Amino acid sequence: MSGGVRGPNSALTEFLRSKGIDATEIQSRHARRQREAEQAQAAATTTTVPSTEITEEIEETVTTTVTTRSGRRTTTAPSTALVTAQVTTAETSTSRASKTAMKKRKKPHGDDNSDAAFNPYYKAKPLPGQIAFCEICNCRFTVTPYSKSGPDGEGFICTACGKKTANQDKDATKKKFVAKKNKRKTVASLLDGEATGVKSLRDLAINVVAKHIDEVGQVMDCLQIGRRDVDKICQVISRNRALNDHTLKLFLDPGITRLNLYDCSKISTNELRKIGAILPTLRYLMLRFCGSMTDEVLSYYSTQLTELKGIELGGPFLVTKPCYMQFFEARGFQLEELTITDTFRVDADVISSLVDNCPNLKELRLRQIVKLDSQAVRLLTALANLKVLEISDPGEDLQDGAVIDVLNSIGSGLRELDLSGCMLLTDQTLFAVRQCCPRLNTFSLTEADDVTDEGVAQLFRNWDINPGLQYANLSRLRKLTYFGIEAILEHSGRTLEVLNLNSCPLQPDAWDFWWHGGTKLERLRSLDIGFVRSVNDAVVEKLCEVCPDLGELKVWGANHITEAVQVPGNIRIIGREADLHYMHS
Amino acid sequence: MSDVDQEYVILESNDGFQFVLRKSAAKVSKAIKSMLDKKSNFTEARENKIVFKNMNGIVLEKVCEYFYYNEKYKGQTNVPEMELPAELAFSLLEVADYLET
Repeated sequence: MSGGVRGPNSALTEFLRSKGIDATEIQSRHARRQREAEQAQAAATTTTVPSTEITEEIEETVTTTVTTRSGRRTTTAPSTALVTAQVTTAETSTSRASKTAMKKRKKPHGDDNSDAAFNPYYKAKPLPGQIAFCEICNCRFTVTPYSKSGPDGEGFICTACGKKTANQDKDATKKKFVAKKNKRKTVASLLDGEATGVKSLRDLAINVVAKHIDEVGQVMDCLQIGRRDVDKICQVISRNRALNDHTLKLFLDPGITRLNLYDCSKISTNELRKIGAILPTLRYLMLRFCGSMTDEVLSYYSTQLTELKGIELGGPFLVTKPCYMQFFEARGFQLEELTITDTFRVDADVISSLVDNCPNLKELRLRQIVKLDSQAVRLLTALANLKVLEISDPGEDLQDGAVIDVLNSIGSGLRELDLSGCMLLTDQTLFAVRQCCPRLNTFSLTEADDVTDEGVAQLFRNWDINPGLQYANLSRLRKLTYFGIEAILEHSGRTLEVLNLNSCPLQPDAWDFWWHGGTKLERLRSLDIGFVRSVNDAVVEKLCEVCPDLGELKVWGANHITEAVQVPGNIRIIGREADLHYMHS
Repeated sequence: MSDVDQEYVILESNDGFQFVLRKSAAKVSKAIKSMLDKKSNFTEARENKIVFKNMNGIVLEKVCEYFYYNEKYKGQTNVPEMELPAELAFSLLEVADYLET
């Protein structure tokens, strides 16, 4: 290594380098060198090398190695390009002795065996500082540690030829790398639920604002930007986990009537309280992940937010029972929408107070309320104006009886019913839904192990009082195999927009109905058939024919779907196993 | 002259900068598309020139750049993201809302 100039080395390279110059290796090289010297008849023993040439070569090779692998690794062996040249160049039909040995060492990925040049089994080459003849143009040149191997992996090539081949190699690896990167990008954006292709100017600008949110100094005046855009910015920065005390101020524009905060986990109690002080005109308030909310904040809201019509509290686990009751007493009468999720402090007493004080509720969502049991649910029968009812993932035993009572009294008004995760419900609930819910257009019932195929079929078969569902989530009904799905499609096939059949053990012949039943699912936009084992390429292709409007097809865990499946370009297949490889490679 | 009219449109900013664009690119914006609709008989459609009182030259230049960017990559996947200067983000957001792009 003349002059001591080196490119960055990996530890392994360094180690092998030291291995490469051991005694036997030097000996064999020496013998070979003598033979070659005789053959070439060159008096190459005492030549001194002009120093400028060496430095030039070193510079050249260092830059090539760094650029070929730029962005991938920071440790680069100086001989990378040398090895790449060996392996990627096609071997011509010469019959030299060491060729087979060369082949043995060859690895499938040419860019990764940077240490092969120091393999002791490899044919000896002229040492740095010696004179050799280029394998391509046959000119005389001085070997340096950065000299590249010839096209057959034999001998070396001169700097000029090295530059030419380096460019070719660089282009090839770069192309490969770019193609892989593009594929990965496409898959990543698929998984993120983003549309591929050109983004709208609005989305581009929103991303820029969200990225520089810390530098935004003024309140985002929604008269100028538009309410919709401010909300979108809030969503994006919540996703980036950048909604905190500082950035919250940008969204508190006095005079607005709706405030949606998608992630309050970094907002302090004091700042939450300020919302009540700054925005007394609020009608709808959504606070997700508001773990820092305390009794004091909620009671302050109840005195301050006199216009409130709807409130969503996600995970307010510090707020206590008396405080909820006091809030309902103060503001309950005007409330139309209420969502409470993820808390263990709401129980039958709180529900009782809710029912007594909020007679005008139209929308009630109770998600993951641990203490919600049959007794508490039965109290909801008094909420006569309810249009939307969600009781999902209740922690305690929630039996058929209570749900049936509720449906019997208020079912006729319901447009949306969500019973996801109510595991103890049976076919009886489905029967009650059939009897009581003529206006239903959104229905979820998941994970209820006792619901049978026949039960689902009986709900939908000739359900004439209901004009058809738009949204149906029947995921993880472990007995839904054939007749249920047939009945759903017959009843709601023309109206369904979203259908979730995740983990339903549909039989292969259940799919026949989709195309032989004669119904086209004209409005279906989104379909989830994840973990349905009977799905394969043929099924997906047929599905795309039957559902002309389909935009989103979720296929997580349906591992018979391959990359070869032919679907129209407007359908995004999400979660295909073949795509996921790109995420990890 | 009439051929040129058919193919290009002039967008003018409030500080007097004029940008001559292919119509196909400008019609990326739904608002501009309806302004240029011949049936509407808007002045803009007749004169083939639109004056934006709410954009200065800097913003309008970026908007025009976006129009061509959109036209070039329409229908493709793996689109490189267009860089927007941070200081213009708010103005562009406002304008994007107005132009429906």
